[in-house]
Amino acid sequence: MLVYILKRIVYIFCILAVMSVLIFAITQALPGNVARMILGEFATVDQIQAIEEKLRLNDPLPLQYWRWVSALLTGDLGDSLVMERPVAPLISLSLQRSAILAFMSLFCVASIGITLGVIAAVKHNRAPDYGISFFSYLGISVPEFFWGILIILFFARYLGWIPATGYVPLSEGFGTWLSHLIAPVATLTLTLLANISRMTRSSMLEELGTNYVTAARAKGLPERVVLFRHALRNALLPTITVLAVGVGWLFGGIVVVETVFAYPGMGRMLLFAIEHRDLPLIQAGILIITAIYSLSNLSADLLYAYLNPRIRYGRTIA
Amino acid sequence: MAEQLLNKDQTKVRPKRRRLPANLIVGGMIAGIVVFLSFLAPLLAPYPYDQMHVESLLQPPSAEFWFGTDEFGRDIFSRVLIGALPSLTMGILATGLSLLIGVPIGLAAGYNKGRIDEIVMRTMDLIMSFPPIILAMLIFAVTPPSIWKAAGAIGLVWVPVMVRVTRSVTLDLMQEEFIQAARARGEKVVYILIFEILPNAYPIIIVQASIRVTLAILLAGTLSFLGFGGQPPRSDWGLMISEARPFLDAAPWIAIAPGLAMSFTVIGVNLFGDGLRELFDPRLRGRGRS
Repeated sequence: MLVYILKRIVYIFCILAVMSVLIFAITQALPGNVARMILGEFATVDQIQAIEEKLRLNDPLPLQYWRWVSALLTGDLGDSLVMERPVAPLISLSLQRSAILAFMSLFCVASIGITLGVIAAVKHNRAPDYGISFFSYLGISVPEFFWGILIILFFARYLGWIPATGYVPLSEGFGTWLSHLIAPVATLTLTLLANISRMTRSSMLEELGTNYVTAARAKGLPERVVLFRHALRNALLPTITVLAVGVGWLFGGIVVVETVFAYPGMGRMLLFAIEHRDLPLIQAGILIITAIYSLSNLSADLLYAYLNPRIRYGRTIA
Repeated sequence: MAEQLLNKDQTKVRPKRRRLPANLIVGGMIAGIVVFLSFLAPLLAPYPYDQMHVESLLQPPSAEFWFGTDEFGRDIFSRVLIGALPSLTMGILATGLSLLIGVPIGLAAGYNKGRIDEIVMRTMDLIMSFPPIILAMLIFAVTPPSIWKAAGAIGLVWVPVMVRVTRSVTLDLMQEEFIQAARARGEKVVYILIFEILPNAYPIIIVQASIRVTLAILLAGTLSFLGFGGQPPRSDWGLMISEARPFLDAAPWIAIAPGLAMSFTVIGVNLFGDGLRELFDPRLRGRGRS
């Protein structure tokens, strides 16, 4: 097991190395020149040369890459070109805000999705099952940015229950802070919910048809115990895999949701950076998101191994 | 073959006689209507998509403007109709591209177990370890946006999925006697791959492709919504919704009309894909996005 984890961590570093080369190559090989991007269209030749001197843009590319990477490794992410501040604190702040969104949504998706899936499986081919299937279908088919807009229109504009957009720091009160999170979390939850509930439903149905469930019922165990202690435990394994895939979707979803609700997180900052061609911010942002993505995939795999006694990575793979 | 599988797995629900799944028919009809409208849009649209009616800005739906007008007085109904084609094109192009690259690689990897397979699969793992939207954004970070590039980015990101699916079917088929017979006859590799393996592998590949089309339409909508797709004054659904956001209070229909059109399309293609799945492989049922 330990060997497996170490292997995976080494692999993550390989991915980050490849990604760093890729990011650097793409951002350097772009049409047009960095100095001109910073200064705008009307820059004079002198100004461009001055900037190029300052940023040492005329050095050979491998040297520039090395300088960038070695700075990264010491924790120096560079300065934002547009905001003229160090990138690291900017990123860490927006990362925290995005993480709040991500964890709350994952929690909602897992708890609500699994509950709905179990209900649908228990009430198989009856009204609740059909109802849940119908709403799962809607959840999958309506794009998340449209869900966001529908939520704004109905709950914020029409009913006036929650603020439509924006973000308020926790220091201004728990209630207002939470009320700004409801809409984005609900949107993310809606789009991911369907996969979880469908997966739970189908694996739960499968488990309910097995002999051990019949045996447990025959023993006279209360239905609650049969459902949750026996069937659900085994039914959750495939659900966890789907949940791990959902984390990948969450990364895309967060970018969209932060745009719709004007929520100042990582996704919105990355979009801002791309719009303004703020290279250091783009480079650091993408690299960090890749790292988090790889780590979350690893933790999903480890969780799966931990929960499934039939898989022990140490023996089978390493 | 499909019939046997149907009867084995779902003894209760399905009648014995082979029938097309209802999903397939309903979904096919919805998708057909959308495709039909998207091609005839220039003829059906009551106004040119960029014609501004200065005297009627932000009008609610009426007999004159069925879905209302936007902040420039452009007819929303016409714009939704015209916007169908780019949205569909992106979905189909992206899927086509991933098929075109992924299927041959998958066939080759499945056929040559060993080093080639190993190299291909590790490369695919590598591609899959980047979050898709980030790859797309990396491309747009440095080049001006366009719908072609959006479709290309999505297509490339999905190559690994196609490779994996094709490879696993190929691996299974390689065990079959007819393949061994073909090899014993001394058929060329290309012949075996195209005429022996592909005809037997296509149901699973097609089912996967149908899932990908809906995801591509959604993802392409997302990219245009974020400003990485078609550029104004062109209209595609994601862009229309994005442009409608400042006017949500005064004119919610600007956002609702393209949103409903997109949801309707995706529901249709989703149903169609589910129907295909039931037709070809009932064991795949019950899984969602992947």
